[in-house]
Amino acid sequence: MTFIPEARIEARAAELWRRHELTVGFDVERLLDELSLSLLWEEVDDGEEAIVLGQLIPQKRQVVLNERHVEKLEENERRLLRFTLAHEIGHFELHARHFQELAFDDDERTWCRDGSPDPVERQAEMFSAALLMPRDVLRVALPAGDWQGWQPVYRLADRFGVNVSPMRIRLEKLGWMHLDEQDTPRAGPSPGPGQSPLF
Amino acid sequence: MTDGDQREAGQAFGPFIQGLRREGGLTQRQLAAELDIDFTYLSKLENGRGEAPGEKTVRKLAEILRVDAEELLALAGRLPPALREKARNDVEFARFLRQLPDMTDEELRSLYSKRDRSDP
Repeated sequence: MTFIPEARIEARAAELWRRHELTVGFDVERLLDELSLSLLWEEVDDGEEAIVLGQLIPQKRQVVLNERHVEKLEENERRLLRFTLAHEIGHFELHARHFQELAFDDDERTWCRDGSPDPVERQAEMFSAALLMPRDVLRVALPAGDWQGWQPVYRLADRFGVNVSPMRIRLEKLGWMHLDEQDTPRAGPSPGPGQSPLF
Repeated sequence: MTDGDQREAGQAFGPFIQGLRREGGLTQRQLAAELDIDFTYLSKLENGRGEAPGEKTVRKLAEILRVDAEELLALAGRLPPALREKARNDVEFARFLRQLPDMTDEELRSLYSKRDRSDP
């Protein structure tokens, strides 16, 4: 699969926001409808090392959510479900169209959200973060000044309808937050050389 | 003729209701809530899986989606209860129903014209 620069992934997500007039905490299931993607809940076998939450079957324009994990996906205001659907939309926007353009003839091709380190999965994960937490919208929602502590991060996660962990990762990735020596969030990028998060 | 209770919905049923739902601006979850059925079940119906819903549900669906209930019942593979009841009590009628799918278009047209002539 072709390398896709992060900037292009961000731009594709931003384009969806414009085209579908999305707002913070938007209904991802409605976006699926607008993209003419069908949603199907059915039991899917998990991998040996990781569970499968969802998958995209591009030939059918169908997103499958794993019914085995319906409780997990539904809990906490369906935040995991939103992220999973956004991930599958990422595959559709970034890979399925490319896949169709290349005229592959493989009826069994699917993409699964199972935590795989595959670059294609990482790209879809980047896309879902950009779709649910767009940079420009998130920037406006950030607390003013030199903020610190977990409360602002939790508040942003609530507002954008995502779990705290992806919000933290997104803020770190954008250089708008870092953890200090006491693991307390602080505004701004990490002052020293540190580990760069993946998404 | 088997009882329709365990039968899968016709293949056209799912895409038909999905299209109408989208036109009506309802999400799968909203429509399932209005029908008082599980959203996972509605997702199966829309994708041509799962058993056909009962007549009461199909009639409610027709009301919400503003389509003819008889058309939707036919797409769902549901016979009206009155027809099922008559077939149970009238062997000749049941035999006639079983023969219907094997009739030619010409034979069916002849039946339709007789029906039209007998309409008041």
